[in-house]
Amino acid sequence: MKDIEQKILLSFKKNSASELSTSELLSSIDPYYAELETKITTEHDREKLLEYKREKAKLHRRILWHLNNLVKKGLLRVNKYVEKGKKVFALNIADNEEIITELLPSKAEANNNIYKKRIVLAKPTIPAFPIDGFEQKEILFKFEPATFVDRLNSLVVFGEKFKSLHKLYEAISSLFSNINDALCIIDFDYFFSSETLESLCSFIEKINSDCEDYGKKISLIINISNLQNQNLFFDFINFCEKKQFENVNLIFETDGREIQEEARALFDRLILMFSKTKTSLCIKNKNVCNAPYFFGRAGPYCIDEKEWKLYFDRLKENKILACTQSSVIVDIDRFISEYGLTTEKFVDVVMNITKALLFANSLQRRHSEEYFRNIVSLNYPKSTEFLIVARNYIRLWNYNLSAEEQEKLLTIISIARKKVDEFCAAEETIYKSCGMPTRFRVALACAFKEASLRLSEEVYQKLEVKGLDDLNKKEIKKDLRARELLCNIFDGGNRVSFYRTGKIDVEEILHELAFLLNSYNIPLLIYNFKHISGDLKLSLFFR
Amino acid sequence: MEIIENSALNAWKKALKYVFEKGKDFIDKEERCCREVLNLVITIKDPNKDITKPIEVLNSFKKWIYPPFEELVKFVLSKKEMPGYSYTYGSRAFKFGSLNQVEKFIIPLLKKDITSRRATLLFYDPLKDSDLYKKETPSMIMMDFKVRDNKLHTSAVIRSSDLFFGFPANLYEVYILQDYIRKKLNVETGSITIFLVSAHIFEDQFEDIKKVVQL
Repeated sequence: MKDIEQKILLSFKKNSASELSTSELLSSIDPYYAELETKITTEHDREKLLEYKREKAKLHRRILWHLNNLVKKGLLRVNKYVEKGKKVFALNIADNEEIITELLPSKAEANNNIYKKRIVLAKPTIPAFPIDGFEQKEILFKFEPATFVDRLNSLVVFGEKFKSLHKLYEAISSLFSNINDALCIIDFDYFFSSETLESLCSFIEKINSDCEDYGKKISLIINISNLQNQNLFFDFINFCEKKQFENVNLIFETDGREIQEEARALFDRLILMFSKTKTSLCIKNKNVCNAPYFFGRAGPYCIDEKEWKLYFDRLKENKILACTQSSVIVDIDRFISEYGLTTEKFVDVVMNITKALLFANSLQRRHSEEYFRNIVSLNYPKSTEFLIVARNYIRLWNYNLSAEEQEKLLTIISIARKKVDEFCAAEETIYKSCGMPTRFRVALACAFKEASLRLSEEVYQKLEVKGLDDLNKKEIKKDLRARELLCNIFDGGNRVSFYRTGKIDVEEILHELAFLLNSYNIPLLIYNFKHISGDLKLSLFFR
Repeated sequence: MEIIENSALNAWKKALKYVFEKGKDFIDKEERCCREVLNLVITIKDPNKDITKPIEVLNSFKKWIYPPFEELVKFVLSKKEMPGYSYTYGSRAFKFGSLNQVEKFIIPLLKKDITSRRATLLFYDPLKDSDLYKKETPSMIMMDFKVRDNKLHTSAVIRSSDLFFGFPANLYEVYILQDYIRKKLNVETGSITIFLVSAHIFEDQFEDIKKVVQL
């Protein structure tokens, strides 16, 4: 076997389940490639730049020849195509299969009579989970089953720690292979005092395009009270609203008082801008939660508020934190169709999911250094702490809160929640008793339709509210209180969306927002202007 | 008190019975009723016989999920710190600061002088662990290895041992390291002696402990 082909196979040795693009493989086997990449990003001379790009293309062609050879030999497979037709490769082995190759001795080794070394590449066996039967019935789904164990679902990035958007972008690019769903960048407001409009726009365009290619979502949290340069901020928002980025969410962190007082003028402008483009204004209510709160394809994510406060000093020493390890989605509508609304069965299913998550975590911990080597290296010297507030998620889909059995459903979910908490506490005690203190937590959250293509048809009911006064009506209050209660049970995150229709009255909307933020413990509000139009009566839907 | 048995299962059962009958009760800081015996010594003369049996017994309850054997092995033999754990015995044994205690000290020492009495390794690092506010510090403090009659006899000191849930894993962890070193020295498996400074059980485990003791 050719030396370069052995080097390619060796790149999979650290994590035999990994998927590597031609660029990643080149970076791993040829130090000159990284050098070329740097030259291309820093070179201003057009001639030289073209020369470097030609050299890069040559290296790509050369490695592709060898990669195709390995595919022909059946050792690698093309796992997917990403942007511009780039190929991503994986080892072509099943569980318990091995690839054995022999390293040729280097000259020095040959002179010392050291001969061939064997390389064994084996795919770690993924255990059977006690939920596989329910998956076959499509009652529940592992989120991203192929990478359920070897990737994290979501990460929180301390934006300020990267000093520049260029460095932040480099870090984000390296993290895509470690996550299944979402990244949240907190303190994004920091960059409005240190970057130019050009760099901010280029950054968001690049991350949006990368997210499109890799199937991820990124949330940028902007703390309104920390904004230093409002002109730059509005120029940036204007750019974003024109471009309508589908994979990057802007989340504004504020509270009811701030909206009506010091940030009133700012929100006036924001409401006008978002209503003009008929898009959603995402507001994180900092009165309810200070911890990161964001969303991806699967649903909302958050870090537990108490833990965020308790460990904050320790957490902020990291650059990257894992927010979510693995997730399983329960389709409540299908569950009820199959078993009815029975406490015992629901608790059984939820406990089986919890056990499956425990198995997954155990496997993940054993291989964490290989699976998450990018996070480990970015977090250096706090390399091993990034999982200290991470949780697993059980997401619920298609629970119809407006149905007659609403109270029963909430009670059943609460009972299951208690059982899960008890099991997690017992497992943490057992691990601690074994001298291996570790963390095992499971959070409940809602799921989004995009979490899986196989979820049942959505049957949530929308409720119409005609004007601000309606928010004080008994039935509306009851519904909002139920959503508030659900936000408490869903300690992993919940999203309450309001759909505004009719004419835009900025003053009225500011009042509505302030009322909702002040009166209810709802951490993340999505205020959607999609349905506004001409002279329709003022009305508000929420779901 | 010293318990000496050939079998790991019998030693564990005897120790549980002894603490259950003779231990003194107190309420710990987590408000659990704890029954404790100080300075309990347990010796297993033939660890190869049934070292995994106590773990198998715990798994048979099906009420909880015990750490899998593969995870216990990795925890003891991984040479680096691992994300997800506050510490690992492996990283302390193989990389205590800059010192690989196992491969750069214990094994060469015993290879050089098979009767040496200096083959001791530490898990507890006062610079890291003697901190008033730190909760997660190794409960196994040290291990010691003596080769006598071509057998590697191993001793360990555990400052605090949950005898029901923790001891079976600790015993297996000691065995894994003993076995690793034994193979490098090309000697046979000797006894394991574990000195438990605080051997305790909890009131909420009593019913399950009675079932184990009666097995």
